[in-house]
Amino acid sequence: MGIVDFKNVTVYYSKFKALDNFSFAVESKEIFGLLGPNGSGKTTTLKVLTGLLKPSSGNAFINNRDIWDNKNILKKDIGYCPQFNSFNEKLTIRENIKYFAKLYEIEDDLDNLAYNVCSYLGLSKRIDERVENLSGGFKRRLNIALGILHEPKILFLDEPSIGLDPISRNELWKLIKELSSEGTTIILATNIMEEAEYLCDRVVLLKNGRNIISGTLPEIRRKTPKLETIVIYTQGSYNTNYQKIIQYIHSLQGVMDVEYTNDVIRIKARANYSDEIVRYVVSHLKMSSLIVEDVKVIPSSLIDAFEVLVGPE
Amino acid sequence: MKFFYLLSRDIITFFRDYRNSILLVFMPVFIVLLLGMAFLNTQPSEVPVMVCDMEKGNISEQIISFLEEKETFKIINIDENCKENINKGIRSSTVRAGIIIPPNVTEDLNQGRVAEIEVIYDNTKPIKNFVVFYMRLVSNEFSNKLTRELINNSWVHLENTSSQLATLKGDLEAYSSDLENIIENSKEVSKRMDELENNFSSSLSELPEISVDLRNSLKNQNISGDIASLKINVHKSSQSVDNLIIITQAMAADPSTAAYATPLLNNLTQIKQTLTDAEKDLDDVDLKLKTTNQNLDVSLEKLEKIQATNISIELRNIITEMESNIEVLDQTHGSVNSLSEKISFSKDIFDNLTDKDPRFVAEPVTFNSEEAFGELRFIDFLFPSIMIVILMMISILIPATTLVRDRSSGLLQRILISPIGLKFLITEKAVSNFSISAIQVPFILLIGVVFFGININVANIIPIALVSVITIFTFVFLGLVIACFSKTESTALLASMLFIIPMIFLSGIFIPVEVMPLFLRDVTGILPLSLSSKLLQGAMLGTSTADLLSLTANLVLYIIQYAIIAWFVLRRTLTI
Repeated sequence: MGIVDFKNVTVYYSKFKALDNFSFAVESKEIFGLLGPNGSGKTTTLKVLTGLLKPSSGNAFINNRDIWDNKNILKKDIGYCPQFNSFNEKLTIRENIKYFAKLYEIEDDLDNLAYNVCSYLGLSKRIDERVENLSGGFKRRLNIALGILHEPKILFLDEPSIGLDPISRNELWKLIKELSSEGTTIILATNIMEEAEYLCDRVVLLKNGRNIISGTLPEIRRKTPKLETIVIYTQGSYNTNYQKIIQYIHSLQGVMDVEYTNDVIRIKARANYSDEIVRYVVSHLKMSSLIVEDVKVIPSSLIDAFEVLVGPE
Repeated sequence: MKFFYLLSRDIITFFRDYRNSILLVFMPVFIVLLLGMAFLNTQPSEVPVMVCDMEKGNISEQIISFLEEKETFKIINIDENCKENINKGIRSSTVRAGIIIPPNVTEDLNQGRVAEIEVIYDNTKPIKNFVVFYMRLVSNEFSNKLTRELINNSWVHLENTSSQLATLKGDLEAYSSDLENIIENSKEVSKRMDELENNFSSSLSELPEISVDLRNSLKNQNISGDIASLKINVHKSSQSVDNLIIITQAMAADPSTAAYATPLLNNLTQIKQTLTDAEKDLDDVDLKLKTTNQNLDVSLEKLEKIQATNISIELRNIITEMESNIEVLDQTHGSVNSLSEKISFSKDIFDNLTDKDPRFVAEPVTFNSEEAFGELRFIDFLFPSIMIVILMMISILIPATTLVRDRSSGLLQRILISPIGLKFLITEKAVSNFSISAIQVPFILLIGVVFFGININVANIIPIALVSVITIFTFVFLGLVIACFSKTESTALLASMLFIIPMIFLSGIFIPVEVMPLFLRDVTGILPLSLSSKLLQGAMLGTSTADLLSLTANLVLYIIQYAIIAWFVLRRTLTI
């Protein structure tokens, strides 16, 4: 049994089944990813884990304690960073930290605590600035600061990098890795595959509240069909009928999906059919008076595996 | 300490937005001034009214002056296309009503016909009730004025008539008295005639005999012959005396006998004169005797005739006739008395009527109104209600929107994941919002005192504070409930309006409860705004408008039920 144990949890919102007999376990100090498209049940899972929601059936445990029954005891052990920045924009960073420190009944020197947390997250220079004046990256850091200031054993992150530019996102990811390395168990809900691939030790794929697949990333790759993306760069003329070309490609065996944008055709296909598909398509394009400038075959990412597993909405 | 720290941060958060601070101070100032001014004067004035005087006569001028005297109306005179112009004026909101005075008003009134004046009013504006009311008031007052004039004139006539009736009554009484005398006399006459008739009846039996006797007497007594012989004798004597006088005169002429003869002559002259006189007297007697005889003859004839007529029957007839007349007189007397009584009754009625003020007929009942609250003005009563309305708006809107914002940003969930409980959170939010709303109370009171002369007794400050606390908490919890059901700030805002606007209009503060349908009146009584308003009126004015304890209890019940709903709904909705 892990530090977090989610056992056969089903949650109904009226008649809608948000989680369907969903189970997973999280080991101490690992970064665990809850992956799934919007509405798959990630946030509901976090609500059950944070004690905001009682499961309709099944149980969720932290340290072998039923979360719903022991939420008041467990609250100090968990930290939560919601999807959107949740703090008081009119207060300064210091005031926000002190506010949440009061909520967590921290009796230490709160100014000192605020400074330490800010130093850790690179916010100390702007500690007395109102949050409303901060950039998105700083706000995101503060969002995390408020989740970790009471040094929780388990940190729940709900789509932490949403809305961040790539630089801020990378900084955030490093921070999450650092927290994990310091012993915090992190459960990360995300629909960004790149984020999951970068951060998560293990993931669980959710669809319609159900566990589609779980395990480490290599395990998931093994379990999923191998896909490759064939990228064909073309130079067409004004009267090229791409619609017909796409229809032709779709008819080929092993093709999962076809996309065309700005003279670039992207074909998602099973890896064992890739060579054959490239041959047929290039030949067809030449017959259609299209100039093929380049062809690349890229191995599948977790995203592709995810798409295959999750399928159409 | 945790509670107060969080509370202070929430309040600071609110005021760090300088627009909030400005609005929180100026909003009550603005609304109190605006509403206070708007409702300072409850009577409409200078309501534009078109008057089309088609008569331009005495009565129409009186009507227009009457309207002008009332400062309620601002008269706009028009002369032509009355109806069309009035309708145009009303539709363009230039005027609220129009009055058309027809050309024959004075004539109608003089002829005793009802004068009909047409009033067209704008029935789409709230002022319509005032317009209709004042038009009726003017109509009544003017009609009363005319009626009073009519009655006053009638009074003079009635008093004259009463006076004449009094004279007539006196005459009738005198006539009645005369009649009584006549009847009495007639009865006496009748009685005497009856006696006469009885006497006459007995005399009548002797009458033939008397007649015969009289005749016999006249025949048997030759008085006339006696007088004639006497007359001859006197004449002879007179002649003898004449002779003697002649002789004596001769003797008297003889001086020797003169002494003797002269006195004799004088005596003889005297005797002669006496005899001459006696002769004349006898002639007279003879003449009278003859006349007497003639009269006796006539009398006899009459007696004989009387004898021939049945006097008794005549008398009886006369008596019967008299009795019949007496009966008629009796009846007449009765009628006269009855008439006198009726006249007396009529006079009493007239007197009763004319004893009274002529206004009695025009306005038999007058309602004398007395202001139950003495010197208190409408604004004194309205001000607490305005204060409550402002407190309500702020107390509902701020928690409703801020809580929704905190929830939609995830802050609320984040706070609830911390070790504090939902009850703690609701209490903290209620108190912080209460503190923000309560800041307005002194501002509002200050404006009331400075601008509207509201008198706030030092003794009433604590009750006012208590009512403000209860009121603010009631509406803060309502705001929290609204927030619990709203997912976005705009929903919270609209939902707040759903409570605020009906409460403002149904609480009886600006629209009298009495104009509402009956089923809404019951609702009015239980609205928190009505309860708070009454409570604050009681606290500020020291008037016991209702059972203050019961009002307080009802508001506390509202607080409890709102708190429970907020707790229950937040508990459920925060998890979704």
